[in-house]
Amino acid sequence: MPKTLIRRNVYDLGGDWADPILWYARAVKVIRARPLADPTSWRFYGAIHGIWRELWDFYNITTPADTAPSPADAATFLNQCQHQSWYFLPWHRGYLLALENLIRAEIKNQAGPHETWSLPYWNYFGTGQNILPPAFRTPDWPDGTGDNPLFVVQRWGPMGGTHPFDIDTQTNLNQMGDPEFTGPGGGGNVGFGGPDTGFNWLGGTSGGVESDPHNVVHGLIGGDNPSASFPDGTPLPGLMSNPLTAALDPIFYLHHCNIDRLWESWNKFPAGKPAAGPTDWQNPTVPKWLGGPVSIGEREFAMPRPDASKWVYTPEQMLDIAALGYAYDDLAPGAVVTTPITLAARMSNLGIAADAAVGTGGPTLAGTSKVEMVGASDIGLRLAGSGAVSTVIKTLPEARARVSQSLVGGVALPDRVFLNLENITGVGDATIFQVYVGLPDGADPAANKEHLAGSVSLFGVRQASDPEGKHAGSGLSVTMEITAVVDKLHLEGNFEVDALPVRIVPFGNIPETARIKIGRISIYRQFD
Amino acid sequence: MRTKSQQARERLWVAAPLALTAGLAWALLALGSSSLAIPTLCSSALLWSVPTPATFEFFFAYVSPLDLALSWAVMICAMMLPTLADTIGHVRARSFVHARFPLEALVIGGYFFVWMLSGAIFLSVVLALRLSTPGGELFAASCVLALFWQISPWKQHMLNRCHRRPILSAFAPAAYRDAFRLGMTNGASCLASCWALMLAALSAPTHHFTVMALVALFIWAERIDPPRPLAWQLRAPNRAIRLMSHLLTRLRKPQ
Repeated sequence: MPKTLIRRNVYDLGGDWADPILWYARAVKVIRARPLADPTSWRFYGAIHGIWRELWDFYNITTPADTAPSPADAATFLNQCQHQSWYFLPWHRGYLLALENLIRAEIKNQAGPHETWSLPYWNYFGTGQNILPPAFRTPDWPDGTGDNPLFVVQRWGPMGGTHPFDIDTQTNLNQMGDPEFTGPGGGGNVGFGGPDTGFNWLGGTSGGVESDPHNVVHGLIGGDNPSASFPDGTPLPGLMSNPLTAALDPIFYLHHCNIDRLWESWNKFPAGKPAAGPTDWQNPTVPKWLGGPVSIGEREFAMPRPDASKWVYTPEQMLDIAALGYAYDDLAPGAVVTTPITLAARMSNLGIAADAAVGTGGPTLAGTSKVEMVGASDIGLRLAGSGAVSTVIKTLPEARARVSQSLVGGVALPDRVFLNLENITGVGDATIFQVYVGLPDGADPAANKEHLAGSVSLFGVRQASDPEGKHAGSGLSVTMEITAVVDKLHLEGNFEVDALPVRIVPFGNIPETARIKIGRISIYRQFD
Repeated sequence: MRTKSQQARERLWVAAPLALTAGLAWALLALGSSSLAIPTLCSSALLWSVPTPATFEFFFAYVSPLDLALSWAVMICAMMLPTLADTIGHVRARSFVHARFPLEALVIGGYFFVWMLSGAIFLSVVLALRLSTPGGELFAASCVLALFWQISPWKQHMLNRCHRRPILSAFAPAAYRDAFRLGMTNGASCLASCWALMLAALSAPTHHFTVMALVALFIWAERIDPPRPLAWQLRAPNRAIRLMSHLLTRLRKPQ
């Protein structure tokens, strides 16, 4: 039986340039020299995630003279990345496996330890690990020579430099507490893994772990160029800030290794997590997910092998990482292991009685899948600068009353409540902001984190805003659970209001040229 | 994870009545094409059979403008209604529960308003062409024009516009205005995308029902493809082809 490959924490490898990192760098250097059109080249692999040739040329990653991949290769492999989709996790797992095989093949060519090499992961939530791993921060190799391929100039975010960043201020692991892989969507929960991706009229909504921390960390590493802009005047994204450049940065794969680890952790860690139903903490079992996008008429997942032949895979084949020959050295999501808030605890907090069925725990019970809009803003918002922007959500009295009734025990289960930011458009992929709900006028957001709905990163917004792109210019949408915020407002007597205040607090400065707009902000209840 | 998500249920909830209505319209068209004896119910057969000036006179003598409008409406129901599923789903998802039905009706109303208005112009042009051009030549010329339009970037632009899911106001009266406007813009994009194919279908000298059904199938197939960048290109309805291929593979697979 083949030996299991262990993916280890990059900070626990035994040194800044421990062997796995050194061999990664050596392999990347050789692969990066291959032509763009070569399916085993670094740039081809980057283009599998997404390619924006004008920007690649602008950054001298390619030149206009570089031959593009053949039309057949482009149709099979390029621009495959699965975002705002429930295929996000399995597609990226296969992508990591393919990249590892490619790296291993090159390590073998260099007579290195190819049989034991695997990607390390970067757990930025770990103690003392909230800074880019050392080998990625320096332009030099360990011997002081300066063409370290792990170093990338276009990292302008606070996590892309040489200083630690207090990551907890902008992102968190709250999504690890959502037991559903796929929620009902439609304004309600999208689940840990993402919304049901069919012929999806609400396309453009990321799943829980994709939205945060995945998207947020992309933006925190990449940022955008503070002193220059693209020839068309729009912001210049760091490589990690845009899906069409992200996979050119070697840190991309360590970030995604961590996201993949979080998926494995969500499934299994800690053992015996409270579950209200048999599908909690489980991956989908429906053929449409297991079979991948082919079952909805989209392209199959395909990666080039080290010999350039095609490897096709499905989500079903990605389910069991042990069967794929891999394991993680640690499944603790972050520095601190958090336990999901149980429904029983929530009901106790609300002061309502729970029946026996609630006792098993979990934040919700199977069956709470109906969704209803409760309120929405009249107008959209434009985000620019570094100052907070406020608006209000007007609520429909009868819908709001149904939420309130559920919170006083008027029905079997209290509603869950979700905030939706709809039709977010613009060209600033590095944009990050936080959203607060019910914050009184003049209150300091930093001192009132209990009003925080969550962080939003607009990774992919430029593509989604392109009228000729896959989203037809409709932009991105974000769904965030605000059940705890609404519970608090309810207990304080502040939920039964006609206009619920919402405040957007940008992280840093959002340039005018990013043209960020939020079309509408709404709240939905999810109920039994 | 549910076996059938709320989104999947919603899709079914929207698609079923649209499919039922379109099916009924197809049945009416089929009946109409089998006989010229029912022009007052559905004059589609007449509409698709206006080959000569003599029958033009016959046409207006026996088919009132109302009948003509009804025929056009039935044809739009049959061919275009299924393409509205995503738009209506978008409106439902972004609306208060009590307002869903009137808003859906307004979307459909706006959509049909555009198509009915265009029908007057469209049919006038077709009739004029039929009066002045032999049937076979007109059909051939329409097919060439349709091919030119189909491979053009302008066609792709209009097709892409059909996929837009705009911001919608939640509260009346703005919500009603937005729904009607969405129906109209969607109808206009749809019309701009499909006019050449419709012209070819209307110009067919024979086998009108079959040609119309084939054109409708193609319109549905190309509509489920996601938007693409603008270019001169022969665009096959890839998603529909892959779906068919996938379904056939599953059917062939031993259980």
